[in-house]
Amino acid sequence: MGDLSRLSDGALLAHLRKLVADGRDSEARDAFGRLFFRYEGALRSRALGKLPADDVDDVLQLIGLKFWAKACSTREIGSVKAYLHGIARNVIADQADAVNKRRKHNALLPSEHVGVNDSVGDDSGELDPGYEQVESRLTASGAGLIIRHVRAKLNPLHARVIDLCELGDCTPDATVDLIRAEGGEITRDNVYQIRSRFHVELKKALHSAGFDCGVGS
Amino acid sequence: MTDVSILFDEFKHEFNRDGYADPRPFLSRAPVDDRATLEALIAAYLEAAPAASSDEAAYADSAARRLVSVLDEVVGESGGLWPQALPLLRRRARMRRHELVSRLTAELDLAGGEDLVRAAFHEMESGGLYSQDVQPPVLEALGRILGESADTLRSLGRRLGPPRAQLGTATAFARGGDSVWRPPSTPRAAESAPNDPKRIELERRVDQLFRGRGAGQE
Repeated sequence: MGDLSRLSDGALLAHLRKLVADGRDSEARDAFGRLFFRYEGALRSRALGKLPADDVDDVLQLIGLKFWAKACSTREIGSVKAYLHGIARNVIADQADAVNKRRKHNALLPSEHVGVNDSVGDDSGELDPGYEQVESRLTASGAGLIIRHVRAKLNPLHARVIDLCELGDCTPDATVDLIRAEGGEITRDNVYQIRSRFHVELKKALHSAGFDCGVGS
Repeated sequence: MTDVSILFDEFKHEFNRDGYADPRPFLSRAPVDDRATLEALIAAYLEAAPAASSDEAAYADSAARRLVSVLDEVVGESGGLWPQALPLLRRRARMRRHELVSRLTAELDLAGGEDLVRAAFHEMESGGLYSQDVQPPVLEALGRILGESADTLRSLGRRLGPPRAQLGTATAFARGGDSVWRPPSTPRAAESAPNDPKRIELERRVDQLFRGRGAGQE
């Protein structure tokens, strides 16, 4: 097999499994590394958002080990991306839970004992308390559901703006150009207004679902 | 105070430029009552983010590449990924080995046999045990302690590739004779007489639980 980067996720996974079945283990591990690399940045970002930086590499390794165990099995994996993010969600949540327990444990220790139990590294990291309150409850899948729900209420033009500029990587100018090329009428100011309105609706939806800081709102 | 749109665009720009981005600085700049909104947007964006394009230089320095090296190290080991995964899980639980061993001893109802459990767990963590020999009660107890399912622990312990021709020292000891292998620093419990029936029974149960010996023969 030549350039693995040309393969889709599904094709690369199938290739990996064939290599394992053929006993070509070293090549299988390389294929696995290439597959994991595709989503490493997104997984690292997710972990950084929830955990002390010192925990992130451990978490990535654990996600990878668990994914390897499944990738080498016969388990059906419809979408590699969704499957990896599913593993990541659980691993990050478990790690965040462990971090919170550690913080509580350290807070309860007499000051002279804080840091004594450091043979396994004990940097609790510092998260903004307001953020921590949010992130402990809001999962990526929950956020996705709420966003889809809010988006579904938009008219087609507004939904297109959100898809391009909010959930995609188009700049406001590129969004205007694309929509005009599709025959729509829109200005840069409209794009900003649509996004602002979307944020207001999203905020309301998050609040209704109990996902807000409850401070200053 | 910065508008959510601006912060979100800045986050996306950094993510696309660097291949990853730490959400926290962006969230900390958002008004408190807008943080949930921004966090939801970032979380959904990351989960939908397309695959990174191939970049040999970035790959060479990536966690993915390091992961491949880790897998290279454990290929053919009887304990599969346990030598890598168990210390990670223990570190996550912020648990020293002796703490884990104490809890595992209690969970398995092996009071008095902590030194035996310590030796067996040492073998497990260093890849010296055959994962298929480790019995479900051990994995279930470890799962409760480490916050993982027994199934996950079992699948992590599955050997990668064909067995290594040369077994590690621990394995050779463990499988080479009838006596229970102990690390040199782990003395037999001093208070136990050599033929103490209680001690012999503990050794038998640890052997059965961790090495599958005598399993199903009761």
